[in-house]
Amino acid sequence: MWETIFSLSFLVGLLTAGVRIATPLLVAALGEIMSEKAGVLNIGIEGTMLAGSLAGFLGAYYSGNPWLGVLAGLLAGGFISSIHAYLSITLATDQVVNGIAINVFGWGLTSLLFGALFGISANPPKIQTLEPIAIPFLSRIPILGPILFQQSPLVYIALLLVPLVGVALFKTDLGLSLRAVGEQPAAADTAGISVPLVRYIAVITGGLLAGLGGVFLSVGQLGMFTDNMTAGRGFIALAVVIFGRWNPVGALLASLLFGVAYALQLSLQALGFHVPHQFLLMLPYVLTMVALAGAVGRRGAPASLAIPYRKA
Amino acid sequence: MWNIGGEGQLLMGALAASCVSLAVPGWPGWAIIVLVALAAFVAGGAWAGIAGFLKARLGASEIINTIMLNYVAIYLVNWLVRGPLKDPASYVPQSPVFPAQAWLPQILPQTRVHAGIVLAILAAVAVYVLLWRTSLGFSVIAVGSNPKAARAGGISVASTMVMAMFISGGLAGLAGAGEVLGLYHRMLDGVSAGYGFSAMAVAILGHLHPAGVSVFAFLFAALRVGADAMQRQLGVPAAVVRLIEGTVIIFLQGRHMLPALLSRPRHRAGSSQTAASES
Repeated sequence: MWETIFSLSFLVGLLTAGVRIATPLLVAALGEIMSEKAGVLNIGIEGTMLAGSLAGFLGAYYSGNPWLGVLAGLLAGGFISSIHAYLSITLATDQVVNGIAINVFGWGLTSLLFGALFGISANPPKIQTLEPIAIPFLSRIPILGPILFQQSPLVYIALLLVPLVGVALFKTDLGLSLRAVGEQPAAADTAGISVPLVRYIAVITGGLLAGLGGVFLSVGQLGMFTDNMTAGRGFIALAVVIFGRWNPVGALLASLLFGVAYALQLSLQALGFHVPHQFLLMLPYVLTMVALAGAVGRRGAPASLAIPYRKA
Repeated sequence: MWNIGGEGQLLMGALAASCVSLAVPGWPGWAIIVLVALAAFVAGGAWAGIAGFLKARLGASEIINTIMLNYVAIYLVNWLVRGPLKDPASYVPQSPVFPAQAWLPQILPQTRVHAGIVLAILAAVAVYVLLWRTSLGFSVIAVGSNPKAARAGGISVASTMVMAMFISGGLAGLAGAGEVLGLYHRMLDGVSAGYGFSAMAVAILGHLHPAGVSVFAFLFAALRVGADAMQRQLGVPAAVVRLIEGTVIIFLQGRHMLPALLSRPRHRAGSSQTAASES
């Protein structure tokens, strides 16, 4: 068994799966980075991702086109997060409570809708997932080729989002306003920036991306929707943001770490590793705790995170 | 601090209760129940205490850690009821039935109401006394309002945090023990059906006071029972309860829009002087 683990083909397979599994985490984390950099903590990512998952599935199912599903998931995420935005920004209420409310709401709504539409059956409805696309030339590179360049188009979108979000946050005026609003909203306000508007944009963009992350799960990977299918990924995405120091590249590395760990747990199960599978299933969650313990302190957290801004 | 790990702590408490009940079958009923309550409290408390410790010492988000521990607990129980704790005489993943002395007596005949409700009421009173009539409670409230001032006043913020989480988790653990001793009389998957999250909603709605919490706990329980009946008789998925819970919290938070809504007619009808006095 150990010879298999240390063989090249196993490692390549592991990393390929790791990238694929990391994708929803990465996209949701990128969205949360935008929201938190603007000072709004949105722990409702889990519920938002679920909503995106279901909307994506329904969109793809009823239209027959997976890309319409992707669009639906995106919009659902934006919509759900606008509730969080209204409660947290305009009404300036406790952002943790709002996030929890969104999670419970999203879970209940998706369970109810799916149950009402399809009932509980042994044969859940399925859709066509997006086929992997091999990028010419680059996919022939040994080792890196299959890992990075023979993935679903959604993975490519996710990877492209990393530099996109980075540039948007650190190289544009809007990004500067966003970061200012997250660090010193009073100063930004004095400088003429509309704190609520910028925060709304940040939170809803975060929601769009969280919805997209959810779609990756249902339309992009599994081809179906199951109750509570995100299984805590939204919370792991929160940890990815912290572990990645609120930086898109950091989020990429952190989500890859979690993705590979999850993939490892799957392969070990398949290899017949003599550990009860439940312990392997615990691995991503334990890893998150270890990662958080290691990221001692929250260096890099925006100064005004989770503090509602009220005009004096 | 936020303890979102109610699910996991409840499960750990139920687990501890199960292990104790199965380990001491010969003991008198009252002794078992006391021991079980203790074990469940410690188990749930320790589970929450992990997150509390990580927060107090390392600043790690207790929100994320308590949630992660939920999943760990779920998988742990899942393994145990299929492995070491499994009842050899049964096909279903569950533990053997507890000895009769470990069963909480039924209070209302012809219903499933058991002595756990007495425990719950006692717990509510105990929490009230603890928070508003003891120095530990004072520390907890102080640290919650203003950690820096609390530290200046000589309170150890770190140990208060851990203690608060411990008691919080311990109470959840007691809930788990109640379920497993009074209702199921064995350990199985799904002892907690989202109770942890509902508990959060109840706590928030009840304005973090035992009296309010008691009222809303009863209300939410009624919602749940009704939802189960709806599912059985009308085919409406029981998830509607979760949707209602989430909607309730959202609208509760939304109550802050009322002042703005109510003051608008005066504002609009007013002249520039009103506008000046509003801003």
